[in-house]
Amino acid sequence: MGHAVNPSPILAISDLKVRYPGTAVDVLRGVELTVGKQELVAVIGASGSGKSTLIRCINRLVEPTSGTIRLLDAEVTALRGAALRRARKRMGMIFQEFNLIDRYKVLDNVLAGRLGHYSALRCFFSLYPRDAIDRAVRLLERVGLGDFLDTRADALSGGQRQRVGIARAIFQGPELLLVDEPTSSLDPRIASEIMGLIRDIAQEQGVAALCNIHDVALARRFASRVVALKDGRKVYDGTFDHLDQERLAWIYAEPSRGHS
Amino acid sequence: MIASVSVVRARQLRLLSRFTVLLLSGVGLWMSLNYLNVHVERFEQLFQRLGVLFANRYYPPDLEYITRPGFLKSVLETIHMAFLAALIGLLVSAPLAWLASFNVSPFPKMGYPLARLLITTSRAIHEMIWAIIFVMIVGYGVLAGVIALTLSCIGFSAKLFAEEIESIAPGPVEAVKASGASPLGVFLFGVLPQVKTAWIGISIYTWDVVFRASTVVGFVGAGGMGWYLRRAADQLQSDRVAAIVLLIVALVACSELFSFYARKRFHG
Ligand SMILES: Nc1ncnc2c1ncn2[C@@H]1O[C@H](COP(=O)(O)OP(=O)(O)O)[C@@H](O)[C@H]1O
Ligand SMILES: [Mg+2]
Repeated sequence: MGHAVNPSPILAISDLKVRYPGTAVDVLRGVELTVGKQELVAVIGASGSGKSTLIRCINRLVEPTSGTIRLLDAEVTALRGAALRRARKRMGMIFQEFNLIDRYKVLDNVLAGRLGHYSALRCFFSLYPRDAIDRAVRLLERVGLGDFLDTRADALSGGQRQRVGIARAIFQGPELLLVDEPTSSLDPRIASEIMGLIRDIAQEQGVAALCNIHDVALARRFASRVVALKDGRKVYDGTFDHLDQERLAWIYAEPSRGHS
Repeated sequence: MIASVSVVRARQLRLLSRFTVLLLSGVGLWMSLNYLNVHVERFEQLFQRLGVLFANRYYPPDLEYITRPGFLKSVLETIHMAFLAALIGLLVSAPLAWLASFNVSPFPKMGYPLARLLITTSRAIHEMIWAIIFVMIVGYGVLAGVIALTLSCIGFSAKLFAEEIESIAPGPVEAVKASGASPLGVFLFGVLPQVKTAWIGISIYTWDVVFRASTVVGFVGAGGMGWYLRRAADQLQSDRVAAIVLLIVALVACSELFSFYARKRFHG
């Protein structure tokens, strides 16, 4: 069950605890996790086990209560202001609900991925460098949306919207992808296309990815390593080989809070 | 069985509370009329008197008066005051509303309460009272009027702007934030696209309100045509009052027509 320790992890989380303000229980209760360069790690677990909280802690959309999160050389938990924004720039995020700017065109949505790199006003007046626009167009062609550059994002289907989300996250130029249930709003056939795209594009770009999926079968098809959360604790970390039915049933069983 | 009993009980309570509200409103109305010594029976004479008043004093309106150059200049002054105040007020309202929205305020600790205080104060004080205050501070004239109108514009539009921001979807905001954008980037790309249409509608509505207010702030000497209205009223020149009021109605109607078309254009 123990995973081989990665010589130079891109992400190293240690003893991470999270309690949301105004609540009485820890949602994450001491999570340890390392992700190696170019690795694709699936995070599984029942709804409410803390998968989203874990992912959102890594780029500090959620504030950790204690513990450390290292992104290569940066200690993310200690950063504030501009330094935090620089760290966020190195992590691309893909969301279940896509979270595109609905009124913007597809190309502009992808270009907005570089908001951490250029000044906000420059982006607002659409003064992107020529080669940045070329790169965004090529990425959109890569995800299969070459014909939709000028389409408004809210005119696309769910699968197409997620493709825009993927292109935006990659265009940002990240070293790590944080992916939260990318396919839960999509039907099964599209879901596996999208998972395949995420895996392939991460590989091509040499980007590591941490991907929440509650669908184990889907995770098994696209990831080589799986981490399971249960009640805010990591209860499995390794290949799918040792993840038998019995163990899965236990992971997805009713939460058993209060036995800490 | 038990469930249905509690449902019936809840409905009875609701009925009772509605009756109570109705009863209290009736009692309140009666008490106010009594306190103010309003003699309802005089209402009968009101319309009769109104008729006589219109026939003898307000009709015909002194239309020649409102074509005099001095007065026309004050009308232009009024429009300019309203335009300036609405423009400045809206430009101030946008960032102020951003500060004053609990969900995306860039300075939630200090900026949020300060912006809220500013908006509430602008709102709590009526534009005529602002006009009186600024006439006392900067003297008679358009400056006092523009400041008063600007404040009333801020109180009106910044609150509505902030309410729009507070009801946006958090997802796109998070996506922009997660890409490492600065607070301004989060506002321009996460917030603004979501509120733009509503903000345009609110801005047009604000213009209507500011323009209406601009026709009367002159009453206390804060510039514009209101001053002529006051002079005519003080001197009991009812035919002039009638002409000025007619002109105000016409101007406001024009402005609302303009707003109507602007709104239609933007909402498609
Ligand atoms: N903003 C929040 N405030 C309070 N509790 C939250 C918040 N977000 C999530 N939770 C709680 O934290 C727990 C874990 O949620 P989450 O991380 O979304 O789990 P998952 O993504 O695995 O479904 C749940 O019990 C959820 O109710
Ligand atoms: Mg989740």
